[in-house]
Amino acid sequence: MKYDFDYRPDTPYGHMVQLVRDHVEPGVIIDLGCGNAAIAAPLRDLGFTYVGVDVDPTSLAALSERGEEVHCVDLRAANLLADALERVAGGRRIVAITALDVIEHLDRPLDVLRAIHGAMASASIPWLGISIPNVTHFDLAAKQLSGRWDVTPVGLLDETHVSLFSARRLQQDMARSGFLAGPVHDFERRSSDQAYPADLPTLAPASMLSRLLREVRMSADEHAFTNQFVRLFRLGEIPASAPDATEPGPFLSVILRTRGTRPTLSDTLTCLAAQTDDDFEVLLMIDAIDDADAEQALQQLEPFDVSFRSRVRVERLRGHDRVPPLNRGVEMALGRYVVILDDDDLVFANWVEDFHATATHAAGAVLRSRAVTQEVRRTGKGISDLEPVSGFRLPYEARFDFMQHLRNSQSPPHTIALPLEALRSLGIRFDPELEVLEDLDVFLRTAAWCGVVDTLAITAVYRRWTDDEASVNAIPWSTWERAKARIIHRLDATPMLMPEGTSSRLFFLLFDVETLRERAELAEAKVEALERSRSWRITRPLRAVSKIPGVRRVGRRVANVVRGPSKPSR
Amino acid sequence: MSARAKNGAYRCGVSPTIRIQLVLYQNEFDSLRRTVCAVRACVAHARSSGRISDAVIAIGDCSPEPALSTEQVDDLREVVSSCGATLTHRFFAANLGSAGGSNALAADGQEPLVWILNPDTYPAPTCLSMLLDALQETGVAAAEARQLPIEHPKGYDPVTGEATWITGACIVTSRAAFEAVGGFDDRHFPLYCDDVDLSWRWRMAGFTLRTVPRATVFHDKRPGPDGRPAGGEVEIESSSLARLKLARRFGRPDAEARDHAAFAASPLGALQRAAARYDELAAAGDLPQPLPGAEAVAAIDVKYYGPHRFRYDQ
Repeated sequence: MKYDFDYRPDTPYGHMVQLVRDHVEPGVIIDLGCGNAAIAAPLRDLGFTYVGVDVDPTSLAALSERGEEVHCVDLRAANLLADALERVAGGRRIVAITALDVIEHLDRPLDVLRAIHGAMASASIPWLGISIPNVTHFDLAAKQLSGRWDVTPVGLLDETHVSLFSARRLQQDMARSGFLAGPVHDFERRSSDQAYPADLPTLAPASMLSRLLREVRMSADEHAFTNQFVRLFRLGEIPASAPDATEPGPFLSVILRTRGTRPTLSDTLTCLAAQTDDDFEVLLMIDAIDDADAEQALQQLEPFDVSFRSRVRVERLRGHDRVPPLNRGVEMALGRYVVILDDDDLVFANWVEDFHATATHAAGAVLRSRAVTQEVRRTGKGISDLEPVSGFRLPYEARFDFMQHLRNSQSPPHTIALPLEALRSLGIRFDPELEVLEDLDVFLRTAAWCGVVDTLAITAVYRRWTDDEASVNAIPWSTWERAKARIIHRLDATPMLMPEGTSSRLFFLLFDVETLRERAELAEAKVEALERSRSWRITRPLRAVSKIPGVRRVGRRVANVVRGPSKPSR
Repeated sequence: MSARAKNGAYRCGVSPTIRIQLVLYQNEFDSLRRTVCAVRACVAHARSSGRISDAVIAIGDCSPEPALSTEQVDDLREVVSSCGATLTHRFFAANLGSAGGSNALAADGQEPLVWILNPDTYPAPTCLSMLLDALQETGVAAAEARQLPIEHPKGYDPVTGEATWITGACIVTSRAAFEAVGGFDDRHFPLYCDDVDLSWRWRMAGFTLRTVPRATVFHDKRPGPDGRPAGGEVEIESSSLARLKLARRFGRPDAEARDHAAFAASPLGALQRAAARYDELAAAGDLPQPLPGAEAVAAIDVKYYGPHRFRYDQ
């Protein structure tokens, strides 16, 4: 028999038996596509009554000889399945149906799942146990990158599998068939039956390319090394129709953070309402401790015209922290790109338009524009809330340089548009452990995978508060240093992609370091030689006297008289 | 009786109506529609708070060809109808400039309040209401909003908001005050510095002006490649010519002579052309005449008009 596998606890069979043991009341279990009935004995040991169902007469005959109760049912005849199972039950109370390594052999799995659902509903069977291979295992992805698709007699790419499942497809198909997700006991294999050839660069665990790819795959979801999905499902309702996943979202989701206390929110909202490109939504994240503050934020939004207000979704949070509103915003976002905007930021009319235009030829990359800075101060309780105290300055480099950003960020948060798909598929989220620089952390992690395309346009104003409003003034320097160290530590933990031209950049950086080091050593040697010289030692008492303040002043005057005043520095 | 009306410049028995004026020159419809939507919210806010009763949105088109189709005008009418306002549209078939267009639109109506608004702006929804409040004070001719995202650097009294002049991108005035000084001087100041000229004539007539920092208007101005607010060649030439005229009208012959000499000697073509054009107008006798006593209101320093809180060119 092809699938004549022995039962062991550390196999998908064992995982299913453990799920049944932990969650299913004792009774009769019908095992669809039972094969050699590997779970019959352990289930019986647990007090269950095992009934095997298959279409293969050879298997059925062998099981019958072993004394198992078996029945012949063809799962592909979906319209007859309910009646067939009712006959198998014969009036007994069925507590669960299992289908281990079955669904992937069906060319129309949805039809069969719905038929099983119908049978379970009419007989009030509460549980369905499924075990099914995961074709998104890392080994398969790594081999496909090398052009390999190795079909085998058994295993992940069994030659008889006709329906291939990821975790997402399994969840969707089960939901469409009327099943609710229940307990999970997936079977993990770090190295699957597809882990060959051993030295394939995309596959070999010691290869840097493989390490990089593993990082990518592991970031996407928790099933990089799931070999088999082993799960229980509860009986639910078959949905009337599948949700429409084709509705396109806006180009940009603006995550606008506020604590409700700043009157400047209205300025920020006005800048958004005035954008020349309307293809964006605003996620107004009100993170206020006090409901009165939250109300103040809502009052600033409420009078805006419906043409703008209808594109604003409000989310109320109560953490009073910088990071949770950002992660919640990423969860809520419907746009292709997301950008952070704070309630004291200003943007020019082309802010969205510029990102959007650049995305048309740089889809998937991080987009980076530029901001001018302007110093502002609070004016207190007069007729204004704040006012600028400087014009615009342009301190940020036009072109992105990863290495420069490791030292000093050149990119205020609202000049960075992040591709939402990258954040979701790579599992990138804002780090709640970071008290500051949470935006820089996510920017650099995303940039390391997706690259950065500079729009070169100046589209934003970054207000620098000259009083305690500024985080740079209110937060101790040690906090900034700690945050930077954490960001670099995280980047250090994985292999990293670098853009074209990095080799030259590194070469010249190291060349400059070496040159400067040589010059410094030369200068130090000269100073040392001077300090050892006889003349230096002889004049030591004079230098000591010259350090007395009064003497120093007189000395300077004398020097000016002798050689004329020194040139003013430029 | 309006609960808000006290003894201000637009006192009347009931909440007054307002005329909202937009002068176009080849503007894009989408941009204009956005502005009209913003105006709709402003009118709704001012009406619901009893500051105004009705609003007429008057669009005047100075473009060589009509900037709006009939369908587009109908669409705008539909937009404003939801706030109870009406919309008029007039194609001038001539470039009257923003000053001439504003005068013509004002002459078409009788509403006691006039809001002069650039079509490349987006007023915040409370903007109109706050500007109307400033007009309540006796003697105030007009009030301006604070501009975003490039805030105008000129100064104002931090307690009262009194200003030496106000910018024309977003001004609310009473018809009485507007007509008292004859509106904009569209002959000498068709496009640039028409607001400075009007402001100083208002002040000569005994009115005061207000900047209202909490009333905000987005004005679609953008910085140049160096990050500083940028003006095009036409703007530099026209505003420089207007500067010389202002100096002449408002009793500053020293500034007129100083700036004329500087413009003529400048390596910038726009400034040279401004000086040359000024000479042509002088030869034709087409310069504004000096106003006696005007130097009391004129504040022309080396580069700006009146005191500034900060500078963009530093």
